[in-house]
Amino acid sequence: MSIAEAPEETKPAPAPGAGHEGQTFLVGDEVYLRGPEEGDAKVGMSWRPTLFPVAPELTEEWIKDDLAKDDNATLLILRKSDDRVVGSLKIDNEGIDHWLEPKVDALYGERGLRWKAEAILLVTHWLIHERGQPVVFLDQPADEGVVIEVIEGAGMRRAACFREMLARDGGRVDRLLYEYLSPEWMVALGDPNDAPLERTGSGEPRPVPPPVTLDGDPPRNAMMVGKRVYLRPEELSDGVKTALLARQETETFFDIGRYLTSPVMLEKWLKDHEKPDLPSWITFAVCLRENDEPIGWVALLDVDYQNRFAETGSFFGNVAYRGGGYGSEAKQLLLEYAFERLGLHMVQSWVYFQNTRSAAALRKQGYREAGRINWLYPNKGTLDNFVLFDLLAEEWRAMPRQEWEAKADS
Amino acid sequence: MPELATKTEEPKTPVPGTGHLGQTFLVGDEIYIRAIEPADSAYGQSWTRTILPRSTERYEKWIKEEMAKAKRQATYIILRKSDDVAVGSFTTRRWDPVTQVMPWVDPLYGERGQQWLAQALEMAVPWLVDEQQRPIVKIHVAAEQQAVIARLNEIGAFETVRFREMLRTWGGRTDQLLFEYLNRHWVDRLGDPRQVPLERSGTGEPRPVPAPVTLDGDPPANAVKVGQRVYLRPVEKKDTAQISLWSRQETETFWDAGRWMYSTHGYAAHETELQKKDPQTTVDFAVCLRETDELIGTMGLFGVDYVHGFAETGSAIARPEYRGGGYGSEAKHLLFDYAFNTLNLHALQSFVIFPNTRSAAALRKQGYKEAGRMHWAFASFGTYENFICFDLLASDWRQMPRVDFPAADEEPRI
Repeated sequence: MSIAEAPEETKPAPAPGAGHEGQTFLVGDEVYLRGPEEGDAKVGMSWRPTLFPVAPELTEEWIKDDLAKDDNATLLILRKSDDRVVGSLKIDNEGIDHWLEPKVDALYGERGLRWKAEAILLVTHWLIHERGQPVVFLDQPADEGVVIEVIEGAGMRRAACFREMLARDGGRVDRLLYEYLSPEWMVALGDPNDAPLERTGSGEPRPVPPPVTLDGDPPRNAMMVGKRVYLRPEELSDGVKTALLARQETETFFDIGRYLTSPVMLEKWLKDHEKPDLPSWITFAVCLRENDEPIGWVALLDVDYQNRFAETGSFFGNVAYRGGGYGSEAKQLLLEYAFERLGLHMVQSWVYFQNTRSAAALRKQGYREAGRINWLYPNKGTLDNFVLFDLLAEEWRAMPRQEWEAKADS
Repeated sequence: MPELATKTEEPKTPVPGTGHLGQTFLVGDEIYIRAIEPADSAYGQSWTRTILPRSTERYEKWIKEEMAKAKRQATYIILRKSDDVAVGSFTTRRWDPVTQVMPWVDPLYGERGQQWLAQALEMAVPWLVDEQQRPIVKIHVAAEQQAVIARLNEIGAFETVRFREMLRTWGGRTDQLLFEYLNRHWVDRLGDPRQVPLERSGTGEPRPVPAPVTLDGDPPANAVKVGQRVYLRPVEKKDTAQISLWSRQETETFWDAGRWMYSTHGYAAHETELQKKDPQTTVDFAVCLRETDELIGTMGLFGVDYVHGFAETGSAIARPEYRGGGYGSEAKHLLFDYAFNTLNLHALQSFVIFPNTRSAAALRKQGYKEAGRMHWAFASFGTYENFICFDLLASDWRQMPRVDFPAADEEPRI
């Protein structure tokens, strides 16, 4: 009795259903998991996480080149009864946290969802109860009732709900975030849900500034123009300024402390992100209309063109222009770009728990709390949390339009 | 006589407003048109036909490296006469007898910008056709560009195609229009192509969509979408040899301008290149029979535009014995399912040459609506041949009735 051998030494094919024999872990009732082998390329469309058709020859290359180099483990989900590959589960590990990215061939319908749930539980149990990891996360479409029932039954906890994030047959479906926390770590650190989220500000959204009609010419290369600021593409030369401002930073609460960045890194980062025909990161420099001075950036991160959502992010390196509503004005221009020009259906945003100021700004801009991600990074002797937000295009469109009084922001 | 503005190698800044002096053509009241210069990258975001931001450095690289290498394609800059600021552009793509013109003006100039663009096209279109003697120019316009449309009509261009809701515009969607401008010498020679009748066969009525199939057993290996009798899977290397062989055995000549012959290696290299892209902008599928896993043809999406959310569809059932009988249409609805439900596209389009009434009839049955005609697309039997254009909206397709399994067809279709 032995684990099926690698295909280099081609032996007579093992009897179907014998593939899991001798394997001591990650074997369930209906499915088991193992690493990818070259031969799995033949059924690549069942498990490769792509929307696009790819020939087995190219998937084989991908297994040998890309997958082999990937720091994150991708495990295949096989049916025990006949060793058929029905899906995969990628474990995206950033150190503390493990994100599960399962894919089961949609053509298996309800059965496939059952297998997906089983694979999620096998891997979660293994990571938490054998490998002693603190937390496992799972992004779960809300319309897969079969999976939700199983994972909730096994103690996974719903931590967030991003509304209408996914496109389905002409409609929209929520995307849920599930967490599974280690009992040992829970003893050590306490239940993170007991950590209260501190909120500042009124929490009330403010009206959106109405679109600006330009009397004269738009600023050079501007794409979105507000009353005091405008958005233009970032330029490679902006990196020098950004790096200098980082060295002059006075606040430590935005993130976990300050960062130093190199202009060389920023230049490479921008070059890489603007290279694809369809960029998934869209960054704008925020400039003052009165003197074209860049004061920060706003961005759409990980734009999903199929589901039409993105994460928003922003940073104002120039301390003099924090407060005073410059950031919110720029964010409203970014939202108009995201919803009215790119046609996104929704955006989401993540904020460090201790960064109450950014969270308050998001609420003012119209975002709603979507939940939290617990235990994502080490901070002051514990694992700390993020608060999550979302905002739908239709909600943003329905917000009142009104000129801002000068200096209304805190 | 004043001199033309010097090239940017010697970076003396010319006096603003002198850029057009001495230029003898394509100079209007408010704007003028010239070829791209490297310094135009400074205004790249303003004149490039895109809503995605790119750095000045990236535009400069594009001008020097990519644009300079482009074949049969040229980009012209539209500049304001008063201060030589670049406000827009148009790109021409030439494939004789056709020249496509893709115009753009920075939307932040609002109505002024549209007037400048109208003026630019008023000069450029007759220049391309009446001076350079190109047989036909096709201008791509969004339905909301009223000033441009009015001016095109004034100069004798005419609307010939309307693709519904194809473009994303500021705050919603708008139709994509094609305007044509014909060379009068060629009209004298060949007659007005608008008078060429379009022959239609079939009822023209859409048929119900085959309902989604619930699989009892396992799906075919590597399948992406599965129907009652056929399924779609990626095109593999072995398929390219098969299709190349079948291309040599083709009996019908009416699909296209005669038959085509494929090279196995050329086809395989092409497939590899497009499958390696992510996202794929050409998405090709092999159409296979569920019963035997035999390949019967290919089908795909071309020019997928993920910003605007549309693509062109195309298909070829390579095995004559599976033409007619509804195999092609069954597969096409699987492709629609992929385009609308997996890729979440908003609209599809399709083009068929006039003599290929059979494919046009199939498209109508599949739910496509006629969007107009594109004239003089290629040389054929002593004249230039025309295309009939179709479009299909996701919302239309979703509303079509579903039936469990369509009855066999009385007439052949693809």
